[in-house]
Amino acid sequence: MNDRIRFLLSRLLQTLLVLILIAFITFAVFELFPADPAQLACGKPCTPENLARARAYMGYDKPWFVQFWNYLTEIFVGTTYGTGAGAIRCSAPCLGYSFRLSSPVTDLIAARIPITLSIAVGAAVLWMVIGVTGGVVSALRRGTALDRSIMTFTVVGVSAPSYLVGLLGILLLGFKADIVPVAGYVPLSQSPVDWAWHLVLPWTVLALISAAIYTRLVRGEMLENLGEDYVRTARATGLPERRVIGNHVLRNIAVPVLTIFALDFGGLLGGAVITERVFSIQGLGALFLDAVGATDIQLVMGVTLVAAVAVILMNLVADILAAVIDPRV
Amino acid sequence: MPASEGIDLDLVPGRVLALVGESGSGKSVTALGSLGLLPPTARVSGSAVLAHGGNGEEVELVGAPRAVLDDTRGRLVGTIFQEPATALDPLLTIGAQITEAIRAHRSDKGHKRESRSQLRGRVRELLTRVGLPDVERIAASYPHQLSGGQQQRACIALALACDPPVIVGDEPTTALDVTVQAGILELLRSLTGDGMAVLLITHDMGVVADIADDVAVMRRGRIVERGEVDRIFSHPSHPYTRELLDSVPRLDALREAPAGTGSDQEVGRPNDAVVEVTDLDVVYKARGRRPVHAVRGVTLAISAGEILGLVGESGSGKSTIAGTLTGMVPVTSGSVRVDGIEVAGASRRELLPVRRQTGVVYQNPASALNPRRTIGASIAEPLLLHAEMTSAQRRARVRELLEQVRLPVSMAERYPHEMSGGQRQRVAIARALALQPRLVIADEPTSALDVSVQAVVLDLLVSLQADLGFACLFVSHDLAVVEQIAARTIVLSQGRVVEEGPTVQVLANPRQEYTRRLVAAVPVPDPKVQRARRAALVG
Amino acid sequence: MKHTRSLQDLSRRGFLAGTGATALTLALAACGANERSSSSASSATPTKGGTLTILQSSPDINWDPAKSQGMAVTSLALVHRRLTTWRIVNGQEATVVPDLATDTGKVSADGLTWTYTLKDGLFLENGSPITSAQIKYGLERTFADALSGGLGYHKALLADTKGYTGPYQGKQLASVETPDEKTIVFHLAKPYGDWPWIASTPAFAPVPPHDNPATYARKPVASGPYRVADYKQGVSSTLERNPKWSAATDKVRAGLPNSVVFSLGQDQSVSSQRLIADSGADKNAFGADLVAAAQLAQVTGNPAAKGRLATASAGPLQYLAINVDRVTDPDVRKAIAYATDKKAVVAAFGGDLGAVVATTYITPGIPGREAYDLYPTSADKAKGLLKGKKVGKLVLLTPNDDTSVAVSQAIQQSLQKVGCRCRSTPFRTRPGPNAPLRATGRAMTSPSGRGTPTTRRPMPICSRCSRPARSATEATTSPATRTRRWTSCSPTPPPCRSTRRSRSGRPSTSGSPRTAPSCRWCIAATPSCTAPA
Repeated sequence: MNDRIRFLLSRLLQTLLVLILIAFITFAVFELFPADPAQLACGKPCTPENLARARAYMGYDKPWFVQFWNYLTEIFVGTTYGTGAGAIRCSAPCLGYSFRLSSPVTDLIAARIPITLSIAVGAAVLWMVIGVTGGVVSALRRGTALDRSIMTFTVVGVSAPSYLVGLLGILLLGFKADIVPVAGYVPLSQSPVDWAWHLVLPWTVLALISAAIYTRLVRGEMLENLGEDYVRTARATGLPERRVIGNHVLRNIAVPVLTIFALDFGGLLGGAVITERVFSIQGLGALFLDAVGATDIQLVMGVTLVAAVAVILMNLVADILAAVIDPRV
Repeated sequence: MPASEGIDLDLVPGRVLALVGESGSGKSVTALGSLGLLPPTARVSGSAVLAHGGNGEEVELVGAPRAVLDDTRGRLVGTIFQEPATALDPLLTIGAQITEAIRAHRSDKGHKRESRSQLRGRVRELLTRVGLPDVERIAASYPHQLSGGQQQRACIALALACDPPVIVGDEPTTALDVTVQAGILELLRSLTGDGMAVLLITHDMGVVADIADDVAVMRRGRIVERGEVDRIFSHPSHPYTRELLDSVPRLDALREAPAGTGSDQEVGRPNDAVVEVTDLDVVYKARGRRPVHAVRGVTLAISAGEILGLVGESGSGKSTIAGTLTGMVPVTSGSVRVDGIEVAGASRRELLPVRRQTGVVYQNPASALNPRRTIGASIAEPLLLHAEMTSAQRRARVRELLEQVRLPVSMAERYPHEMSGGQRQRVAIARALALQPRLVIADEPTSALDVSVQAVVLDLLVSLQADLGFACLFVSHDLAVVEQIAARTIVLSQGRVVEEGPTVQVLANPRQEYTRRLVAAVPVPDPKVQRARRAALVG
Repeated sequence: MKHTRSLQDLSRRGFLAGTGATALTLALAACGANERSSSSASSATPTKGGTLTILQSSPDINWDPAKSQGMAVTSLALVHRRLTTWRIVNGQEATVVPDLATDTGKVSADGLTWTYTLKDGLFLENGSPITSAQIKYGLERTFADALSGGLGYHKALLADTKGYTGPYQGKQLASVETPDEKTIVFHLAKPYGDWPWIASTPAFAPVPPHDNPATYARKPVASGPYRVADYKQGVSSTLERNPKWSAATDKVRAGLPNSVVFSLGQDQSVSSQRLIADSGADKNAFGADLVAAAQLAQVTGNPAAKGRLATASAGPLQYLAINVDRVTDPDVRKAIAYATDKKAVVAAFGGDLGAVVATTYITPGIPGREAYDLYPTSADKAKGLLKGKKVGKLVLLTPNDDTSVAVSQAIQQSLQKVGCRCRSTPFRTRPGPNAPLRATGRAMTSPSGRGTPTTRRPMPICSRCSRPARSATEATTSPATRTRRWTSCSPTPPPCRSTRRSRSGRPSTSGSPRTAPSCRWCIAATPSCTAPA
């Protein structure tokens, strides 16, 4: 038990250090970027005094390490801008305050997380189903026409750029055939059917590329494992093939596949920028893109940290899963 | 070219049939092919009939649909494979795998579904039957947590899960230590007592002599001779069988013929010690795991012109000691002097003269030679690195070496994959001798070779040693081989020296209990003698 | 209020992307919608009822009038009424008309005091009557740090606003008086004849006191025909009819649809495509962005869609600014003007629908404009002017978006035809304080061919008068921060008004430095002045 606890603690410490490093790098990028975020709050016309006041109000007049330190501590304790009746309170956890949007970053992110989660989970489920099925079938029917056509499909899937596929999908299925809605997002709580219907095309676009990759991955792993001794033993015991595959081979390919899946999924949780843009879905990716374009530093930092946490968390989940499935780890 | 043709075998309940042959003879292919366990690239034709179907019918296995094969495998025929470590699914516990095997055939036989406790009981029963202690712990363990012998026993339990009338063992003990092997063979023997028929595929005549009742000898895909074991061993009719039996090293040969090759050797000139190892300790430290004490306080010496045999089971530290002599394995404490130079803690530059004087021959000739180089280039490599020779001189030396190892000189242009295992090992020996070393380390050089080839290589080694006078450290787990060529022998167990002395004495009259057990476990390729020994052990 | 950019003499029809919305939009409208700008072919007469959908690419709308940089007739005007507003009629000049006030303001004789009277029967959405105190409060809160960012022309024009930080600390603005509930008086710092136009900016919308600046943007109190019913950040914002608004008091807004839905964050190409397709709910929608150049061709080819395309006539001006300090020879400048192929530049903007060649600085629609064309495209004239002259490598600065880069390429090629070497350098569209000025672009040219905008230190610019500042002193306010204050900005530094002269007649060099009066243009003062020798 001691080992487990030590492992978790060391991972936690590692995570914290990585997050601080990421925050620092993001911060440094924007510090070096010669754009003044106080310009946004300055108004028109922007006099030097107004600009100076805006900078002081937003805290950008302090030296960079003070700003960075403040940002880190504010995550835990929150902060208040201004004084008196017009003070704006950003309560912990305060990932920053977006003056452009008049909203704490935490709220903005929290509002968008369900959207990005919807896209990510749906696409993940789709690509895993397609990928694993395709890979297994391809491996079992190795060399046949079916195998070859599946492999061709994977090449297409990997090469097709997502925005092109997305736009084509919108054009053909949305405008011409009018099967799916062309843009927007409907919350799950509002109407599950509409929610799913609006997301079918984004899911498909995202899943297309990943499914291709996973098909190849699963196929390779399957082929490697089908030649292993334990498969021969399982067959020698008289197990039907589907049990051999289902209970033994799949279990053995689970660890590498799940490890890669965890990382992919973690990356997706940070927001599928291109897909969200194309389908006009306002998820974390779109938020991030707008923030970068508008030099909204606090929002960029907040989203970056959240995305980093997602990836690290999924990494941890992958490691734990590997330890659970594989007793040798 | 067919791997095997026209085979017909009769398996009788309660008797063990041994299918013997060298590598490439087609014995595994025959047995596994009839069960449909070969890779899909193999084409099996003909007929393999199992005359003990569920209702007394005959079951045709070749070309049978998967359902028929599934029914046969496990229920009628249990299989044990060579490598127990990889034969089990590493992610499931032993108990789970056995349970699965039991369930595979129970549910469709009309028996009512067994309850979990019944299944657990059955698992325990099976594990006890195969001689495993502490069955609860084993049933909950994963394969990597068991030793080799325990893994093989678990595989046997898996094969026995549905009480099949036939057990097929494909070299079940080849990968195991000799003492462990004895136990497994004993177990297999006991299975016949329960009325099972056992088909044992092996290349080890000692094993055959130990447990077989009937023998079938295969060569190049065909059966050349078959008969009862006594007759085959005492009066082999086919010349190949005779050749096979002759080339098997016998552990008791010395006792019958005291003037054997081993005692001809000089015991060595003690004052010309090429290797001096004093109080050697090697500890392997892996992160997160407990350190492994591979070698503890070992002291030995090898003189010029002497062959020292180093025997022990797997994990005894013999390869580690061989590794320290070349400087490949770091020494934790103690002294290792090769040719006067201290190897322990030496830098690469300091080791250079040592390495120049040392030649090594490894176990697996296929991987010891660079597949992309001609063997001439491989042999010339040490010359290139250490000696100042022109290419013409090098070529001349390569020719000379090839002649010494009794290979045709034209072989210099060939690639390793174009040669047989024995030829490759001879090339490795030639390479080891290229710089006229004072020390040759042979780390299990014949373990991967067939018995007939083994004889040739050993013979060659002995004659070369007599000619060139180098000191030789011969590491092996095969006592019979060591007896054949080594003058002195050291027995290692778990990193410690258990016994040392002249080979004749150590193996014929071992002083230590461990050595006695070791010697006793080695099967002698003589069925009568072996039966007597077994009786003595039991009695 | 026109924005100028660094490109050739052109006027651009339509919408300038960037801060805030202009009055005139180039949009694609569907039939039956209530259009803000009259389209060239509207078949139905607008009727009351229904839902209007507006598709916009921007993912947010900030409903707080203090933070808005919108004009008098754009989105916020649906919710917030101001003292005055604009009347836009296609083909005519824009005029300022009263909105909440009874007239466009009465000015005192010295031009420093403006007085407005509110109409009767005006109510906020919560039922309380609209009072002048609310308008005063709305103005005061624009000075708060939390709410800076909107149009602030009034901040400098009103008297005694220096150092005022808003009403949240309890302080009030003295220069705005409310003698009674219906009257509001403004005291200006100097005479300003266009004050009625200023009174149409969003800052002049009524805001009930004691608001929460953090949340007002989501749920403002409406004075216009619509109230904010719903706001989903990044998704949509829905306006519903404000029952307290009375159409009788509002001459400009029709308020015909029952609700208006802003669809936020729409991809431009997809919205354009939707409007072209014109199916389902899109029948009652229009796009708030420019039609993407790629779809312009599609629209012009589709007669049904073309009939729903709204184009504006007058628009902002974009011109190519030549750095006269570098290109000192007027003949060379004329040559550049002659050489630039204006048709090619128009094509780079997207053709006739994208832009029209402007031959004057004053765009059509401004009263008093005279049309003339001094430099029609003529490569021969250009070559003639350049004969014998040595012109170094020209550097053309251009904003880094697709259209601007295309335009700069057209200019580059035209200049190359007459033998001028020209290199174009894109810069970010949102430069920081050290970058070349955002409002005025410049083609910095250097006869020696050296110098790029990124390696040279740009000249400091006075943000008030947009002229180069001659000198700058670094005022160290604290060890940690050094603020650079742009000081003198007239071509020559203003002389000290007074200097102490010693009895010998020579000026005293020792003694405390005087504070020179502030530069005529800049706000900041020079801490030290140059005493005449």
